[in-house]
Amino acid sequence: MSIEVKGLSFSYENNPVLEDITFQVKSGEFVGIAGPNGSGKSTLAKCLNGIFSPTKGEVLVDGISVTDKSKQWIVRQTVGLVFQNPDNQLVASVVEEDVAFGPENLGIPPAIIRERVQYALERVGLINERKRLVSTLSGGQKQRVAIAGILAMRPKYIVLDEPTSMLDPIGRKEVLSTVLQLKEEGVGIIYITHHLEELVYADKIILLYKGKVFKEGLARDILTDEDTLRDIGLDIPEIPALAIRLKKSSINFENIPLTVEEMVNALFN
Amino acid sequence: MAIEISFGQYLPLDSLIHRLDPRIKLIMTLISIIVIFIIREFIGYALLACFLVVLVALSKVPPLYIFRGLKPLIFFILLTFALHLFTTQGTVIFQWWFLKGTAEGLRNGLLMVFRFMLLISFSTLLTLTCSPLELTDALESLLSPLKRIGFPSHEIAMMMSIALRFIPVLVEETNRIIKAQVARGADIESGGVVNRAKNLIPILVPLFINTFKRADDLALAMEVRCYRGGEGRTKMKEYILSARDFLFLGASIVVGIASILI
Amino acid sequence: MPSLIELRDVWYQYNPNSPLSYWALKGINLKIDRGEFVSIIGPTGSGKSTLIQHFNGLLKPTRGEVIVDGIDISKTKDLKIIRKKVGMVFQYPETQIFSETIYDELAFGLRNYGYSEDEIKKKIEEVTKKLGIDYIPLDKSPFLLSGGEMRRVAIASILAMDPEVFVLDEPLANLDPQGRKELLREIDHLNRKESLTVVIVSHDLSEVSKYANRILVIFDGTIIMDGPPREIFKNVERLIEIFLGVPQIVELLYSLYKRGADIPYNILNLDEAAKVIVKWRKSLGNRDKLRTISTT
Repeated sequence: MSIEVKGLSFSYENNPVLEDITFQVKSGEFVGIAGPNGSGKSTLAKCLNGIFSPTKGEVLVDGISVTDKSKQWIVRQTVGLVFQNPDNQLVASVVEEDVAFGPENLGIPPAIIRERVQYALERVGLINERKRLVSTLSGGQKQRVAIAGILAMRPKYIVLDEPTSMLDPIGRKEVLSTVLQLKEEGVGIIYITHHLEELVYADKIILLYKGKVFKEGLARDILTDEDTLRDIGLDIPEIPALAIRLKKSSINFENIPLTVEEMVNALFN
Repeated sequence: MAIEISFGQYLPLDSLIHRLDPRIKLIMTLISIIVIFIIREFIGYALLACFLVVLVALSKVPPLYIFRGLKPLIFFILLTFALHLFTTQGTVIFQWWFLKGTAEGLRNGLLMVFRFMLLISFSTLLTLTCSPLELTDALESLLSPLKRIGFPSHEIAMMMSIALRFIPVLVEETNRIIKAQVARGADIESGGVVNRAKNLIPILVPLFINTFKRADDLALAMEVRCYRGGEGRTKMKEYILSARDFLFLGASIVVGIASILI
Repeated sequence: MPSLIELRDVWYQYNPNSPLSYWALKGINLKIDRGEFVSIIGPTGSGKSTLIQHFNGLLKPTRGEVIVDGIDISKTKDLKIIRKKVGMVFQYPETQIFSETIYDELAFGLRNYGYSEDEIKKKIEEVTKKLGIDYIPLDKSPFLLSGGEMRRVAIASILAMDPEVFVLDEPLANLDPQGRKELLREIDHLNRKESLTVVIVSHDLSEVSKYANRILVIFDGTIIMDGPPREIFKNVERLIEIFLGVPQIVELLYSLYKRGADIPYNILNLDEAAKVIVKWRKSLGNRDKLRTISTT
């Protein structure tokens, strides 16, 4: 079970936006996609569930081509998308009513919708806010409602397109820990961002630059590759940056630490 | 400068009134509106007002919220009152400058004031105790018989629900744009009619552009969540009429008829 | 010389006399002097946006006084003068763009203040250079620009008015790392080279703190810390507690300190942080050796 992107190219009004992109995301895997603005990240997100059809190449979701119109609703249910602006993706005024929107569209019986709404709101930690007005929530809470709305459709993969870029630090933490917990529960995560410190828990990172895969690799390898990151205008996170400096002063690490916790442990050994 | 809106704001509480079927609440509101327009006597309004007080008490909504719904319309209500007071022909009871107040005018004016206040209070109570979605669900359900003649009841209900969802967002956005342009030295409150209209451009243009952008985003978000119109759609909330609903409906019909006949 | 902006015991209440009333500012005392680079930091809902709207009279204090360049904003009849002195850039300023050309957008404020077209042209030339957007033709529609360019045009439209203090609310939000760095560097340049007073509002201590020479931390409507960045970062624990993002290095140094390392943690610079860690490890090494000797 996986999303397979094979030689995907996409042009918009004859301008190539994505060129020959190939990668794979297995269920339960956390894949980070990073790149500066204009690298084609958001377009790629929309190709993963058939909102955009590839100009060349193909995208297969659990073996189903996203261009297969007869199966498009299955594809969209399997690959959920969460966007950047928390205000512009909530449809209903009340939390639980918004979460129910997806399952309602799928024509699921009411009793089961209620179960799924309950389940989804528990997953994102908002079960006690179910009756609240969306307009009174914080940005981080709104974004978690959006995630719950996708979860209620029981997707196997969730694509998050810069989900934290409009949030404050607390909202960012809330969303990230929700995402990590979903990964633990077996949901495949495709996390798009230009804040690399959000990808320290990713299994794999794909760097996108000018519509092409610039580099792909294990999170630890990509996040410690200062030169490559600088070349495409991204910042190496502070902890690996510091580790590289320490290495030059002959403090050696078995693995270059990515998080504060890892660094503290490494330094105390 | 800031815009405030209380109409259309839902107050999520747990009360007998909140739990009533939204269709029943909508019908009750319609009944009271019709009755309000038929009544010609103060005593009828008094009876209806008592009914309103009972409903508000049962709804647990702080009465202040009902008054807040009235606040923006006070000027309008007073103007109507004055118009009736001074323009109705009849026995003059006092004269001020060239304006003559008549007894009939006073009566008509007061009737209008009660009419407006009750009208707004009943509608405010409805929007305070029904979430926008419940309201639009009720509307869709009540309009659904018209579907057979091709009336787009689902689409209209969906549009209303989205409009209500985005009212707070757009109000906030408008205030923000006004402030941003005022900070750039824009005058939005002075000048003649032409100038004032011209001064609105820096506010309306960005508002439209941003709203289109939002609409675009929202359409995409709905598509991603498998929205494909009303066909084959189910609802989380099942509305099943209970004895309680009929009790309230009955009560409002009885009170309505009594208010007219009394 | 009097302060550029002075607030004396400022209180502000939203929705007075209603069930939704609350105090957003509770007794703010504050002076901002010419040439400062101040960063106002606070979590969402702390009152920081309410505070800056007092600087140019968009909001007037419920109680207390706000004095801008010697003028009391509650008493003056001409707030327009104040709004020219205090250039205010709101969050996501690109969403306030409305003109057909970049030139007209940049000229909007200047025209409101009655500048002649010759002066306007000159000012626009200057400001596009300062913000590094002089490569874009001025007759182009601003709506055809990239997000980052639109942000710069919007910021330039306020800078063109020659403010004495430049107030920016979350100017870096939603930009990519490159865009953030460049914009911050340009603002810093304006502060250093043109001695423009700068106030940046943010909920994040990480980036702006490297440039600001003074940080104000606002929480629940009051100023709880006020000082140079190094002083502020001595209170890491409190900063984390009120949900503010702190730079990862500060967080790391503080964690080391808490686990018993003899190390300062109010350091913002990577090289300096590397130095203190190396120094601490060396001392640790020696002590460990000593300990092994004494136990054997």
